[in-house]
Amino acid sequence: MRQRWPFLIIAFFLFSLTLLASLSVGAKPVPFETVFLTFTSFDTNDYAHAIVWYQRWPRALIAVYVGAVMACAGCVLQGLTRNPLSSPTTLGINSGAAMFVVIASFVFGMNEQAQGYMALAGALFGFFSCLLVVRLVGLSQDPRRLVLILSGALIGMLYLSAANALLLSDPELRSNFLGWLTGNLNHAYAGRLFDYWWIGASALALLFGLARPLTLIVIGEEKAASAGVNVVFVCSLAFMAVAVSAGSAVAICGPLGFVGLIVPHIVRPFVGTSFIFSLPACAVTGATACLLADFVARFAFAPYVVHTGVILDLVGGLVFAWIVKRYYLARNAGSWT
Amino acid sequence: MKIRRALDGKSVLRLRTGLEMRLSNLWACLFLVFAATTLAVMSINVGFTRTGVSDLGHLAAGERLGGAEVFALLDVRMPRILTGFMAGWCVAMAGAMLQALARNPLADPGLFGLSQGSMVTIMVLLALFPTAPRSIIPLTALAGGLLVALTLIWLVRGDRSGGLAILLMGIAIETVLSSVTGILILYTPAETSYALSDWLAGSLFRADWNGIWAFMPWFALSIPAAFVTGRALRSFGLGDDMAMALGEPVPWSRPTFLFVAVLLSSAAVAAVGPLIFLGVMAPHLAGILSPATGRARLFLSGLTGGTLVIAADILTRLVAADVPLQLGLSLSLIGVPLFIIALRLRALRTISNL
Amino acid sequence: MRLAIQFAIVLMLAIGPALASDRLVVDDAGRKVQVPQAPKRIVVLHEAALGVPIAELGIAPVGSYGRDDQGASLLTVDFYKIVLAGSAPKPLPRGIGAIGNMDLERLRALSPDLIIGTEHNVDRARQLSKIAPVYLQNSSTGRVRGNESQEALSRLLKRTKEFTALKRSYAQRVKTVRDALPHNPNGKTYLGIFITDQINLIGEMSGLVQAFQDLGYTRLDVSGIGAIKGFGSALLVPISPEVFASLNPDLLVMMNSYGKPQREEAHIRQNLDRIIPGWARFLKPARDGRIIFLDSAKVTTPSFASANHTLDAVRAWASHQK
Repeated sequence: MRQRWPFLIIAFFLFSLTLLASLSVGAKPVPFETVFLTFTSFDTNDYAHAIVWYQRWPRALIAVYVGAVMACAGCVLQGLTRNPLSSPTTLGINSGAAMFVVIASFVFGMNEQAQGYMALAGALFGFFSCLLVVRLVGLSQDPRRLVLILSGALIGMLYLSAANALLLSDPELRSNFLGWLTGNLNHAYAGRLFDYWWIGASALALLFGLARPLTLIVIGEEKAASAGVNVVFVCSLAFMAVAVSAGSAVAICGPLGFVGLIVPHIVRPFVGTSFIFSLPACAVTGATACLLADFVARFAFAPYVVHTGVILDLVGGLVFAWIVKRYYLARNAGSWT
Repeated sequence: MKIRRALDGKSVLRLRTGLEMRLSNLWACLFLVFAATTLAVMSINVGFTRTGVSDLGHLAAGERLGGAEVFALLDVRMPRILTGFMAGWCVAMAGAMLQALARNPLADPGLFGLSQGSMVTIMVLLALFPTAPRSIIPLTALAGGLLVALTLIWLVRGDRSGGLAILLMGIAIETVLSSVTGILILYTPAETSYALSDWLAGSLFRADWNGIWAFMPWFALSIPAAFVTGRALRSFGLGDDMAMALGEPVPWSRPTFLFVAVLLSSAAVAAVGPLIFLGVMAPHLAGILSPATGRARLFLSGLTGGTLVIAADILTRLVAADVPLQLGLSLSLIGVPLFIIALRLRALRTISNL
Repeated sequence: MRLAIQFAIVLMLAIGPALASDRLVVDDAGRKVQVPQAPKRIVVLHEAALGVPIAELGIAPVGSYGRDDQGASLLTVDFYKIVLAGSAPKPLPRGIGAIGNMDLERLRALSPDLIIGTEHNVDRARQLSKIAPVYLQNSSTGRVRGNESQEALSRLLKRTKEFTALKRSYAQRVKTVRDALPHNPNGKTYLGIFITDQINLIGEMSGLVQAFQDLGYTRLDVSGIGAIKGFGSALLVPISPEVFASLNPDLLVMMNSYGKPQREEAHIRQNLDRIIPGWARFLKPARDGRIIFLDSAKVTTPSFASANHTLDAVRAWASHQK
């Protein structure tokens, strides 16, 4: 794994470039030096400064937060479940959070802050119902742990359809929610980012801290245990961190899917499976991917603007198919450790 | 007609034609028919108009009834019950077939992307050609389902992993199609979008006698289809090599079964919209009543599916005044707890068998 | 044979009188519909687009989608009460089942003689026709402008006299408001903005559009400034918040979505602060006091009542200017 450091450096470089581009390019182009000036000497009467500071910067921060959190979550999930298809989307986390927010708003009429907390609860609920189905179906002869993905997909379908059905009960409120429900980066929800960033940050810090024991567990549970790792404790801590942080991301911008599925697969060939390197690499690459997806959504179909979530779902589905092809269908299918 | 003992010591009923039926399956079947009938009677009695089975009796005896009662019985409740039962039957049977095909208990027309395929083509039709005659919707649904099935077959050609790959590919296709659905719902005008979501949520609103006659051939088709495929599906459960050894032409029969499942699922989608999760729930619930295989499993699943939809429709209409409860939602409310109980029971049973 | 003749006679007796007093019309979906000469028991499938304009013409609908059995609204906004205020139908129209869960039996129990829906109800028309004739009226942007659908409904329901009377008193009001304006509106532009969690331009179908048009304003042409087009969406067209602040119509009309109960000026400002912080500093109409805040629930129906609410707001703004 000699490419580790070069990859990290290049990834970070690309990340800064996309971040800068997303601050500078938009419906009203802002030159680079104005972007810098915004941060060094903010002029309240300059409209370009206001756009960068009040609209693009929060939007970029949301993208970075969601991308980093989702990618790390996906990386950890794929490692711990030993399954290349795991991600917050495929394990019911996103759809659980989305359903809870819709229930909070449509059934109980909660305000936006309460909806955010419901999203956190929903993420855990979605993940645990996925685990419940797995446990109940209880396939002992399932070497590739696919039942987890299947029950996740089922749970996801069920919860999202429930959320959509609930939306039908109020056509006006529905149009306010539709954008959010497909996953959209909108700086109008930056308030939630300022409310929840600490959740994602502490979850990421925890995962980074657990990187070594987690890597040992992925290599082999017995080995890890003999090295003094409390396997059950570390695993449940990691799962909790993943579910809660993914839930906070959903609360901010809706169920933005598949960053968590794709990014670990981009990163792994370069940095290997050790979490010590792959987590930071995932965080940076995930943030870049999210910024890019946002970019594509805004400009690729001009003059139309599509929601970021729709783009990611489309790309995610195709990548999913590719992963299946690669790991499950090829004659000498790629092995998974 | 005689009662015999099968090779494994369980009682079977043997008809003179040589057809055999396990007694446990027969009991389960009778129970389900009883449950479906009871629920249908309840469903006839539920609704805004005060009328019910007794009025239906009067009507059959040739007595005159008020317009409201006749309308409620013949134009609303009966078509809803019949359409619901047939749709539930078809989806559940398709689910049972796919589960045997993929050798996985979580397969479902929705998970395979089949119902999504039908749905997307219907939605594209409604969004782009809002004035298109509604009679072509079943054909559109069929075309969409077939397209997905063909794509699936093409993508997993040369698959050596048994049913797994096709299931995972199905999820991939389902995801892509869902994003297409998302685009349609987001970017069509609010009212069109609302109508599309209404389709997605599943509804028996459109149930009427014309629809029932149009649905009937597909429903009828499912019975011979179950007879033909049932035995083959059982040998599928043993693995490709074993099935081949038993004389099953696997490379051919797999696409054929997929095709039959597409027919059933798209017919149901065209009639009531996608019934998510039913294809998984019904076979499991049926499996709790009687751990059948092959044909019996298909029929019991179909019966369970139909019964569940009738029950869901009752719930939908009970609260019709002010609580908006879509058919799909009430189906989940009723089915999911039962599903969890069923899985739990099965787990307990497996443990006690060990 | 005798049975057939008997049946035919019964059939003729049954529909004979109906034929005599019915007329055949073609609705906006191109369907041929037998409509009674003077429909008395009308059920509408859309409260804002159909119910309010019809009630204003003097026919209280007996049923309206989105209300409960007592006539209370199931939505955030009760359009009859808010738009028509004192002249809202009494008793209020009753419901036909929960939203998204229309109940045919409830509908029939209202014994309607005409059901009026929008062009989007075409999928439901076949089922509903079993209960009463179903007429579909175009009601969305691109197909109708301003109050056109109310005029079409007045012809359908033989209420042209009432329509003309409403129009006359409305024209009077337009004149007084025009005189009270601080500028000559001819050649001046206006732009309507509808705020959800993004900024949207409003469509062409509402009393609001009618009022501004009759005052003499023209809609600001936004084609060149990067207004975002949705795929075919014409009702609300989202516009990038980045270009929004550079818009400069002579009159800017802003309202909050009626999906929310708070629609007053303070809440509109608050909502804008969230989407475009600092808008009040950069938006030229805001600096010059050329903004009118409206209650979206009052002004978005295709009725004279909505147009009059708009006129009232314009007049209040004008008196503030002097």
